[in-house]
Amino acid sequence: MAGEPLLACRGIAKAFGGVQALRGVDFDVHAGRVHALVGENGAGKSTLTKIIAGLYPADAGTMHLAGEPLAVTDTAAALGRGIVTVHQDVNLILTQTVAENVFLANEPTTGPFGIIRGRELRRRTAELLDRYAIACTPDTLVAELPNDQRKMVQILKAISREARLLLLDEPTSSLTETEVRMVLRLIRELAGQGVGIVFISHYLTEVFEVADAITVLRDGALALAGERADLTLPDVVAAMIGRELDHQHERGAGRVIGAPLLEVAGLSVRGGPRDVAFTLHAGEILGVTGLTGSGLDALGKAIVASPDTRREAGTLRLEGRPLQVATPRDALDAGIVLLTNDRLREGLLPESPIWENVTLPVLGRFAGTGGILDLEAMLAAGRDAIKKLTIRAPGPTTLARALSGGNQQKVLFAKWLATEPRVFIMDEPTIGIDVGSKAEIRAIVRETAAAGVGVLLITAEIDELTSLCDRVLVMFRGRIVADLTGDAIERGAILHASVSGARAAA
Amino acid sequence: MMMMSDPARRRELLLQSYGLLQALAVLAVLVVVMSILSPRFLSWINISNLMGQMAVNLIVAAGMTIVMISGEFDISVGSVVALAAAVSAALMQQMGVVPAVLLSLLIGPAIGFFNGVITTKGRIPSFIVTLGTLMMARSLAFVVTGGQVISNLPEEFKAIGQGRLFNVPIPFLIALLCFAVGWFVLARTAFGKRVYAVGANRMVATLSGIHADRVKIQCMMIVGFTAAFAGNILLARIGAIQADTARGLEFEVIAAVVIGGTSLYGGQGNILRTIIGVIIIALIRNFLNLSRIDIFWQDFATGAIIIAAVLLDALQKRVGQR
Repeated sequence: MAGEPLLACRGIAKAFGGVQALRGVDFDVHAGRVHALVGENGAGKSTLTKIIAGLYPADAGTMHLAGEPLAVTDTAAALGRGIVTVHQDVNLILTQTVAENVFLANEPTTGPFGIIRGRELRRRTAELLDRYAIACTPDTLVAELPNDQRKMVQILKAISREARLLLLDEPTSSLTETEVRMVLRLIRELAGQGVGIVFISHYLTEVFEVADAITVLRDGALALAGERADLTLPDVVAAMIGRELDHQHERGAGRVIGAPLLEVAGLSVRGGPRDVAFTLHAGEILGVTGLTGSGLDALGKAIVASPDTRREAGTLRLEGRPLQVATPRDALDAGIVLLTNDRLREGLLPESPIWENVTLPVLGRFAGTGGILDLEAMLAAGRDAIKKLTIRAPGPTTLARALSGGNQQKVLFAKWLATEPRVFIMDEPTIGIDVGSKAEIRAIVRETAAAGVGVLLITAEIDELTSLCDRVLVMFRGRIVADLTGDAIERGAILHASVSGARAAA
Repeated sequence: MMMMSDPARRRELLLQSYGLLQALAVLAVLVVVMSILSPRFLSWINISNLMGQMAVNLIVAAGMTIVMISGEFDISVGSVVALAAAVSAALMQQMGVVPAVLLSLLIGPAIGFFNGVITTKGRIPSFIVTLGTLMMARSLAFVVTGGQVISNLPEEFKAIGQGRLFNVPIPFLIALLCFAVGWFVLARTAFGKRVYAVGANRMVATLSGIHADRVKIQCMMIVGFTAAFAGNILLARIGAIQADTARGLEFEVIAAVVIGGTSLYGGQGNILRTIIGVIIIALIRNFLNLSRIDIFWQDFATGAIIIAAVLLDALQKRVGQR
């Protein structure tokens, strides 16, 4: 691409503790063009954009904006230079109007008391809405807008600050297919107005639709950079996963897959899974994966009827018999348990000791007449959990909050295994824990399945799927788009289905 | 017991008792200062009077601690005390002591059930729901008494409130019994563990198969019961009732629970420390009385102590997290 780049980054490096997040990355953005930045989780995309936006200082490297050195140290300074970030989550005030949101903290005012010039506020908002053909009025409440328009208002808010460089972090992840089209069109319009755009997305089909240039990061280094016209989707997927060999499979070792255990049919959740159906067998590890926004995170909660999800449709059958699950208690009584993906907020009682945490779902078992608890037996259950799952803790009375992430996760496994489940749904069981604990947790998962429990493993970690699962389902925008078994369970196929929504050609 | 042999448990107990020791230390300092400033303070007459006076607050505070650990509030308790006392007094003259007391005791759990159902099913803060029942129950108390003082109660009933055992007022002993029961329920029963779990994290509790709403409703019925029970104790002690009784009791009781270290956000608290909270508030009032400081300053002092206690607690937690 000819011409001076708007943003030129050279040799950007950054380490967090001992982890090298970026290893000397070059990255250019030209005015009026859309530059896609792609890579797996942890590849360094967000670190790079945060350095550009002034949230972190770089350890090494230089940045120039329109030929002048760029060394912003906070977001206010970045805004002053015309660098605006649009975050993944919609952070608008729902109870205020579009105009109020667009000019929040940037209102046109008059006089020493900062009285807002309401008419000008609305006029300028109307101009923006008009220019980008967004079908709402300045006086519409944001709460009344559909998702795509909310996203577009968020982007308008960014450009109302006279953005020269717009950093869009996963702008389409929470949208439906048609809403995506609207937002992509707005992005092209903005580029047409001369704004330089960095488009971070996991959705490669969208990247190919909207971007002019594509940069792939892998392990903090540049894996591929080029014009979109010169690249194909398989090129990009290959660059994302690199040439590393697939993990050795230990799948199925010593396990016998039994009869159908849990059958899910037509499961739909608002903002989550759409018409999802699958059958989990006894002794099977069934993996489900997908990107952020694929509905993955609501799947487990929908099955156990967690109070923060709303099932719109769907039936469950356990061992062939219809099963009504209206509350998590019903699920528990049927032997279906859920390990949530947020152990501190939805898993543990951090201020309670191990023995109380592991006995919480089975209190009734320790209660004698009048509900009086056998505390000695409960403590023994805590000691038992520590021994069986090799939890590193001084004793059962250690508070859960004092444990490391890996050991906290083991406490949760002990808690749910104590209920003697038949179906164990695990949502990101190794999230945020160290490598050693990951291996231990994976061993526990295997043992659980080997004992005949049906394991539904919901995870975004591809390694986990390839090393543990007998079968893998891939979700894309709420629907299951791929069903992989045997040798078809490999990184390329999983990633391809996750990012494109289409099954890989064999 | 095996629990004690565990080193981690010992450390934990030490930490828990650290909070308890601290509260006791504050209490001890108060006692010493007061006995120096006011020689009458340590006389048995004064102390046993104090015990009798605190009984009502103590009984309600026991229930309030449980409901606050579950993560809710009940500010209708003062009105429920008055209503239960009024109903009991009115019925007593017609049907005798036992049926009157039993019927009036039912009022508490009934109002608690109403509070709990509206709070949990309607997803409305209990503070607001019980603000409504506070006004409704107070109004009913006026309806029942017709705005008159009801007195002229049977002697055998008043004997409970005015009698002494080993020279200690019976109402105070009954209040201590309530705490013993409350402690046992919280520490030793499955229900107690559920109360803590629901208050600490409703989501975790629900996913663990606990019906969080049911537990909260039960807690609100318990605090309602303690209020109705306290109403009868009050009636027996005073021997008369008017509809205006126990106004503002709710905030004095909540203050005592907070001074006792129970978390305002639920999930944490020790019911025995609530006793100290009640005593501290009662002592300060007593001290202001004895030293003939203008009675109008009493609420000012109590308010300042609440802020100091909560601030101290928050500061300690922040230091502890570092």
